[in-house]
Amino acid sequence: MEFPGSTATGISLLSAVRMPINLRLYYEIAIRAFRRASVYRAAYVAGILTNAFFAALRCFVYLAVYHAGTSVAGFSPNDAITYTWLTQALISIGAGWLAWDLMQTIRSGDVITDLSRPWSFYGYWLSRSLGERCFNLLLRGSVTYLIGFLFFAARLPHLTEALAFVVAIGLALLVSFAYGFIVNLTAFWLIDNTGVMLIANIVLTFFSGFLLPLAFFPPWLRQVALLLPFQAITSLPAEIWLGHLTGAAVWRAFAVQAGWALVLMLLAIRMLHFAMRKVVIQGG
Amino acid sequence: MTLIEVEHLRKTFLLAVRQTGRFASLRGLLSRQTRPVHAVSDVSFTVAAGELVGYIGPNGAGKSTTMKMLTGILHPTSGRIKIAGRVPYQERVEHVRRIGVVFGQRSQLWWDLPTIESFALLRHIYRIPLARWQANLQSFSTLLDLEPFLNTPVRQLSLGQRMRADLAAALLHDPAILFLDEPTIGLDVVARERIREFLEHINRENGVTIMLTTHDLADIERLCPRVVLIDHGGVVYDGPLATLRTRFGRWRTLIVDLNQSVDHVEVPDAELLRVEGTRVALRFDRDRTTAAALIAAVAARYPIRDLTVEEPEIESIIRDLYEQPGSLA
Repeated sequence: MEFPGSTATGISLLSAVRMPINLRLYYEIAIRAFRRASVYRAAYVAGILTNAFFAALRCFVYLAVYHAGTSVAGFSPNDAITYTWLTQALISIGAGWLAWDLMQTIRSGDVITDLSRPWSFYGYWLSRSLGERCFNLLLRGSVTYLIGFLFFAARLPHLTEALAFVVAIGLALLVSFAYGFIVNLTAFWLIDNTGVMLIANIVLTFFSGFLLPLAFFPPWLRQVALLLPFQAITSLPAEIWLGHLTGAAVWRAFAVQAGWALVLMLLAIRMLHFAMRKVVIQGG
Repeated sequence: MTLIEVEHLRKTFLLAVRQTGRFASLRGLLSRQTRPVHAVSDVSFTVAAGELVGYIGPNGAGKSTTMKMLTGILHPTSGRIKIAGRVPYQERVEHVRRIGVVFGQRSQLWWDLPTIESFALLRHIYRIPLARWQANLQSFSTLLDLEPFLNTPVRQLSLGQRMRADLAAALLHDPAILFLDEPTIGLDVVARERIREFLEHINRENGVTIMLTTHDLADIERLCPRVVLIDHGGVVYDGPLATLRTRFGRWRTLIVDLNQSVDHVEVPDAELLRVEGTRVALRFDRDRTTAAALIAAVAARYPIRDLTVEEPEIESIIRDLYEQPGSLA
């Protein structure tokens, strides 16, 4: 088998990215990541309780600030409550929190094993992430939201909105994964990249609209947020869920998400290429 | 058939030099001074199919760096590697399909999942036909006694169990070559022996070529007909273990039990190592005198009741080398 990626120096994008795609393998990886996420029951319950606690806390703030019947920046009180429970339910799929597991393998050196496999390294981590996040979405996020639905009357979308939301979440997962991958990869260059990861997390939490809907931002800051990829992770799916985006606006949202997913993925793979060059030339 | 060919292999790293003085870390960010470190300076050897070779040397001799180049992770600075007709770092993916790698201090198993899950995933990673995978798993389960913990999460395994599982994991796809970096590190005597037996078995019965680094010379004595000894980034010895002993082990120890205790013993051509009551240990150079001559010399001065001549342990030869790197070169 010939690999177009293996040039004389053998490091151009590395065959890692140009392997014939073995979908079954990535499915098997995702399945294991899903199972792995289900191993720790105490963490599972604690996660839901923590999310629900913070969602409730944030809701009480909104309820105190809102006057009955008013609407702020297009958000009714119920919109604000729905938005809060939704984002809190989505937290474990990357809405306001980056996974650190790749970074840990880089620091421990275990990444060497993963780099010397006949697979796409990016595909491997993407499958792992998708498997784990599917678990979190289906068994963690949904339960969290159910609590919001039962006790705070958080909104349930119509069927078409729900379907559009599923597509938006899929794209959001790709964007948030690529972003997290890039941030984790800095561990190849920095001996301790926890600082970078913390800042990256804050930027994500803020500009994705997790902390506060982008609609509440001052206009100039909102413009900044709309130029960044993070809205694709939380704000756009949430606005679809709320029914604020309809018709062509939904398609525009998909396009923005897909565009960022593609750009960040290419950036991440490019960066992986440089990381590999560093590893193979300098020995990590 | 030659499986591994390594010629004048060299790997030089550029190490960042830490700056000192005022604003050192800030200046370090702006301008980077580096100095070259020759991890491997000139290593050549060949390994034939079916061999079991010990690759040994003191810490920092360049063992792991060589291993990383052989497994395709590192690019050599210069020199040539060819393994089964492939250049590992150029055809990395095809290369790794045909080798197995175990780093004793790392695990390739999924920590939180039952051991069998990692084995099952490996089937998909290497596209191992189901029947082949089942047969291999069955065979390794028997040889390594994996059965009792196949359904136990890896994090609950003992170190010995984990190591056995990692060995099986590295071999499920029938690699032609197995690279092992410290496979017995941290294990107890029983666990070590079990791993040695297994390696011997797959080398003999399955024809797997094995190259292993270790700090436990018992591994080498037990397993490796051939050792490649490296020091300061170069090969200082390549051949049978027995020859290493005769070539470098010139020193013998004569231990005599005398009829009465003495304070001091003076014999030509020998160095007094210790006196413990009636027992005296003398060290002599095989090239300068013979055991017979020395015994005669001792007997002429002191009445001898019993005596033994000790061959140098491989361990002590290697230890000399490790304590004084470069002493054999």
